[in-house]
Amino acid sequence: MRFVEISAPTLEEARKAAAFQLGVSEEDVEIEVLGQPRKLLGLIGSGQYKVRATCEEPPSGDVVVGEVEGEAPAAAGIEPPEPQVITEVGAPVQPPAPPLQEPDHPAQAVAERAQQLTEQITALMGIESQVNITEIEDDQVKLSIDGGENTGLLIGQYGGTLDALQLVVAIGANKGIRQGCRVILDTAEGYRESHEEQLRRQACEAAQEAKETGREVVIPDLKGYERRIIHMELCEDPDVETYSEGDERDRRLVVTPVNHE
Amino acid sequence: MQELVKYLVAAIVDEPEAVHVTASEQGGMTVYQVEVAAPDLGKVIGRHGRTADALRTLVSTAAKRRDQRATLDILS
Repeated sequence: MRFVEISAPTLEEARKAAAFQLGVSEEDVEIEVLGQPRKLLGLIGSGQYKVRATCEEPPSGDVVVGEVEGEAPAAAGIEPPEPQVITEVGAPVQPPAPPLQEPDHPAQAVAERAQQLTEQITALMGIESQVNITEIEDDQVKLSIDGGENTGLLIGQYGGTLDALQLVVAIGANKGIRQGCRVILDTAEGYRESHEEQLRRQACEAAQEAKETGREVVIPDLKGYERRIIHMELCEDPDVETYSEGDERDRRLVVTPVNHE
Repeated sequence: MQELVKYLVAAIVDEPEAVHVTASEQGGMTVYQVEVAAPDLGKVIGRHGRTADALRTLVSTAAKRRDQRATLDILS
């Protein structure tokens, strides 16, 4: 079973577009209405029907959206509609286009695009959120997301979802900008900040333990930026040294006591 | 959901108009097949597959929000 999701002004157009995208005739398409046209606000699909169109097995090989591939669908004689119609109905929201030339204030441009990207991605994820720019420096911008009651979902396990969002937004926002700018996404409640605070505490505890026992203390399962925070925290402590060992997923940080002769 | 996948990938690549997304159902899970222009392939995969992993995380979180399960495949 395969399906596509389509937005179109009428159900008839949605069915036509779906049949074309799936490469089958209109009779073979099951339509399920996901959303009615909304006249008032609503960023996405305003004034449009949103449907999920399902069909049984494909008629021939892979079907590429927006193109007719291979032979005509089983029910011959049915002409697919003009391809232009499809691209129009299939893509209601577009990411911001990259600037044509290097902007005067690259960090400002990156921050604004990052804000727009974060708002639209979270909206499409079904998590309405308010995004604010909280800091703009030459090589770094910070944004905060207020996801209301869905903030936990937005953070994810061990901050995984927030990290993923930050990475995608950073790539998208830096598109077309020569000098890269670090993008940091935090929640309005300051998840990242309090997590960093916790890591710094963990670093001090590990250093303390290394000094008292005279043995190495190993901290496994840290992400790259988490290890960096601990290295930074302990780099000025003359009684311990820190280093990382192991590969990729097994990489761990070691705090070792320094023996002053 | 398909709109989200399209948007995420289009945000990253240099040729957003070449992004194609189709979906299929596999054992109660929706799999989105993503096709991009050849020069953009490295961009959507990323170093050690980091970008592809991030895309998967976001798609799966969005699915969870709708009480569904979903992942994403990049066709090469």
